[in-house]
Amino acid sequence: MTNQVDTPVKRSYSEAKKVQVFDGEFMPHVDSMYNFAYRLTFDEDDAKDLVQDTYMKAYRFINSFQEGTNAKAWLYRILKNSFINDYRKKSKQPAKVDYQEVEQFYNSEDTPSSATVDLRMETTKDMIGDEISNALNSLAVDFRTVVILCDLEGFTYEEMAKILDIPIGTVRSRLHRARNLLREKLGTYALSMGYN
Amino acid sequence: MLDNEATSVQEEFFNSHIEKCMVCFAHYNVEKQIRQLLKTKMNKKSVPSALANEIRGKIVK
Repeated sequence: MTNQVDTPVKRSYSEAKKVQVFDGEFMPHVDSMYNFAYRLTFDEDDAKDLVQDTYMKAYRFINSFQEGTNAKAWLYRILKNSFINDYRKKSKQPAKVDYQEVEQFYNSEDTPSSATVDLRMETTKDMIGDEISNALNSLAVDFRTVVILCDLEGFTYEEMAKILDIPIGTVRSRLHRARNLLREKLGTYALSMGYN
Repeated sequence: MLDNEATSVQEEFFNSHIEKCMVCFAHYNVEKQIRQLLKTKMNKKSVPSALANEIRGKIVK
C-alpha cells in the first residue's frame, strides 16, 4: 500500500470487517456524493465515474479510516481530491481562473450597499430553482464547493477546512466571497426580470 | 450566525442588535432566504440505481 493517505495510525481490518464498514459507513452517503460530484462536473457520466473512483479509493485505504469517525467528511475529501487530481487534468476545459486572484479581486470590493436589499428580499421568494442553480453553477469551483458543503450538506467550518485542506480562516473568507457573488448574481437576475 | 458557528455571546449580541437595526435585520433576512432557497430549490439528482450496485459489486469479489 502506498502512503497516499496521511495517517500515523495503522489499522488492519479483516476482509469481513472491511465490507461491514464499507456498507455501514460509506454506502449511505452515495446519494450526496453523487450530487456533489454532479455539481462539480456538470456531467452525469463524469459524476458517476468520480463517485465510483472515490469509493474504490475509500475501500483501498479503508485501514486509514477510523470506524465511527466522520465518514462523510472523509469521503468528501477523497472525492474532492480525486476531482482535482484526475478529472481536472482530463477535462479539456479552457484556461482556468486562479481563484486566489479572484478572491483577492473581490476582497478589495465592499459588500453591496443595503439600498437594494429590500428589492432582493421580495424577489428571491419567487425565484425559480433554475435561477438559483445557475447562479451557483456560475461560481468558480472553489467558491461553489464551499457553498455546497456549507449550505447543502451542512458541514461545519472545521469539517470544511479538513475536507478542503485549507485553514479555517480561508473557509470563512471564501464562503463570504461566495455568498457575495451569489447575492450579486441573484440580484442581477431580479433586476433583469423587471422587478424594479 | 447563519452557519451556526457563532458563540452564544455573539448570538445574543446579534439578536439584540437586529431588533433595533433595520438595515442589518433586512440584510440578515436576505441571507437567510438565499440559504433557504439553496436548500429547497436545488433539485437533488437521484443516483443512477445501478451505481450503488456497481460499486458494491467491485468491492465484494
